[in-house]
Amino acid sequence: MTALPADDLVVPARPRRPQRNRFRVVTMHRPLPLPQPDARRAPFIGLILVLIGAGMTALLGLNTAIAADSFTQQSLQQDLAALQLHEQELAQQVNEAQAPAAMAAAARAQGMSPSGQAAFVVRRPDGTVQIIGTAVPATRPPPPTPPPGASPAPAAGPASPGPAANQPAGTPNAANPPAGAPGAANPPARPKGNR
Amino acid sequence: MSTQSRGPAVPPRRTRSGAGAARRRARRRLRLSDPPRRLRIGLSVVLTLLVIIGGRLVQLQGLDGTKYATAAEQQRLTTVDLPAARGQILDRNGTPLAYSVQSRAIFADPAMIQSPGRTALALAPLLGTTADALMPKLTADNRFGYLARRLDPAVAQRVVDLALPGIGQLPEQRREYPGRSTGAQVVGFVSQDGLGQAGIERSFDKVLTGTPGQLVYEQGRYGLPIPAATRSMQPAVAGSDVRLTLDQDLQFTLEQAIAKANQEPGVSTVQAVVLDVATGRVLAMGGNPGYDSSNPGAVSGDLLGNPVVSSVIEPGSVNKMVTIAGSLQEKLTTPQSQLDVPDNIGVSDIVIHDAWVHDPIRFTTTGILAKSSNVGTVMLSQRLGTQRLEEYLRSFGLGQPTGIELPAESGGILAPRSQWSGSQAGTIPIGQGIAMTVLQMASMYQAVANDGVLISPRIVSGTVGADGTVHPEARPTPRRVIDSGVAAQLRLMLEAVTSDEGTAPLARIPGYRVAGKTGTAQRPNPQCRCYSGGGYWATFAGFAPADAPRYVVAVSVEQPDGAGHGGAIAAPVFTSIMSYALHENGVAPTGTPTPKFELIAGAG
Repeated sequence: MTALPADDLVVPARPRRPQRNRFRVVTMHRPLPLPQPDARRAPFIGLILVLIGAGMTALLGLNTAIAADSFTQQSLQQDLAALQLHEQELAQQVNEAQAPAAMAAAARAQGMSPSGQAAFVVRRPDGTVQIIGTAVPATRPPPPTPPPGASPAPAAGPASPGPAANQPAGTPNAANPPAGAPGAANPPARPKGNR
Repeated sequence: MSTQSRGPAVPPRRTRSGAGAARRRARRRLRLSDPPRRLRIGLSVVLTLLVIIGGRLVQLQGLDGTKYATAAEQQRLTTVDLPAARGQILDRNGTPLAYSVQSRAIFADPAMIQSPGRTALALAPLLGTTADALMPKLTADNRFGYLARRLDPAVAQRVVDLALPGIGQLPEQRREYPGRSTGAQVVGFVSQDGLGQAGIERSFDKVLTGTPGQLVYEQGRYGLPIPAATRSMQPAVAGSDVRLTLDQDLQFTLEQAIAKANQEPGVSTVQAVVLDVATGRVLAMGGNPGYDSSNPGAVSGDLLGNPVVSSVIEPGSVNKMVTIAGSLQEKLTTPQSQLDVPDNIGVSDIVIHDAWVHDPIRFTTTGILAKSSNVGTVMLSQRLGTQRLEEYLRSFGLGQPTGIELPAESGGILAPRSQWSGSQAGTIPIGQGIAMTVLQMASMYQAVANDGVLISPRIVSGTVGADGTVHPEARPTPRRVIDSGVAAQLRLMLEAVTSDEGTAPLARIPGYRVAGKTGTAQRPNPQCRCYSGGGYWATFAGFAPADAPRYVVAVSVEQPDGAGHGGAIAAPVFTSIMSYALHENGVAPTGTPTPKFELIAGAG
């Protein structure tokens, strides 16, 4: 109101009560913008409503998704914990089985015995080969009381010359450097002439 | 704006003049106070309320605000401690000797338990105990008590599935020792609360223990984290792994060998240690009887140490090596020098005899060592003098701890020369009146095997941080004790000990050249604090192959009721440990012929 120039308005200097209900046309340089008709306001309201609705729906959806993810996370974490425990259990079994005492007992149960004295085949820089030491086959341990179900392995001794017969003589092989392999193939015979 | 500034003066006058009559009429009817007064009262009431509310607001928000905000948050916030995994102890090949697994403790809150009897009956089979044993804990007058600790998580889950009121589980760690007694004295054990009590578990407790972390999150009504709410996590930092120089297989073999030796009649304890010659690293060490790390409570407390580093023995003739080494180094003798050695020699107030009665023999120095002549050694030590003898003993590491990374190490007993009794000048050269650990004994021979350079024994090769970074342990500075040439002479002389004429033919390993020295020392009798009736310590320390040494093995056999000498009872233990070490590591015999030794002038 204060922005309008004062001389454009014809304002009664002393308004009196009887004149209160009389209206006069107020003229201006420019016509005042007419109020928009209702028909043009409706789409705007609609747009706002749609936006609000869409926003609410999106928010609801988002919240639901987050909550659902939270449940998923929880259940996955439980799975993870369970799997970690399972892995721990398996690792424990491996560690216990590979401990030397357990291994020695398992080997004994299969009729194996600690290797005897090994012979070494040493290749000298000049190409000559020398067999040092006398390989001694491991002594067969007293027959273990076979646990039920484990009978095939120890019983293989006399029947098949395979694992059981080779094992005691062949075990020194494991301790040898690569060059020792041929010597250990027939350990009892060859070193005799050498030392 | 302009009307407001004018307002206060005008309107009240108008009201009073215009509507005054009507108000007065109304007052008369309703007996209300006059409007200004009513307004003032109303205003003051409203203002008072406003001040109260405002003040309360300031009090709640401003003064106590933090407290209430915290309290509100605390209702939602859940803090979970994230325990830091304790580091593993690994052998030289990375095989775990000790590691931690998740386990559960089952606890009871007796105040919450409605029927203790039924609860006890339900729990007993799962916890592996009896209902009677559980009852006191379930009826105790407190709010917390452990019913079982370090249970497998699967078992604990079955307990939790019973949904018994007042019974709950707590996560905790359990220490696993897959090798059981193998290496137990080195590895040690932990207390109920996971604190290292012995061995590496104790000396590296700080390194093995990590830094626990914390997870803080806001919890909803059903215990689930509120999505997108405050959540902070400080991850736990796992402890470092400690990698030892120990070889678990060799350790097992050593323990088998000493356990077998301990079954001999008259033997009470057996100790042995294996060192790597080039590095001074301990490959295996142990004493029998020992204990099982996973159940240390099963044996008496005095067996829970590591005797190889903690208990001292009088070495006996094993110590003669130092006397001879000093004499050779000071050029007071040579391996071939001859000496007329009588049957006995008087030193101060005592007479020292040889182990067997003989007429004077013309021994070579090699012969004195190989035959372990006490008298010959004392004669040589008299040439050396006590001052130089003490210097050599100390430079071979006696009288002070080696600094190995194990708790409760003893440095042995070597009195300063000024405090030696007259007779000690005669007994110390032959290994009585002086005490050392088996580790020190092995370390002396490591110096001879390593061309005269002593490297203090160490058992930890390094630590591996949680992020995988390797921190090698500082290596001890190698220290020259005797000249390389003297060490070579000494190795040959020590090889004569295992010859047919020497004191320890049993120490030989077919195919290999073996050097070493036997010892048989009198053991003090704890009852009379004298030597009589105390029995003996049989010792053997040696290395192989003699001309290119790889390993040092020292063995001590304590016999309160036996008299087996070192060559008979300790040497076989040496042989079984050493031959395994050589074979397992693919050490080929050098193939060089053993020289012919002249022990007695003219006889060899």
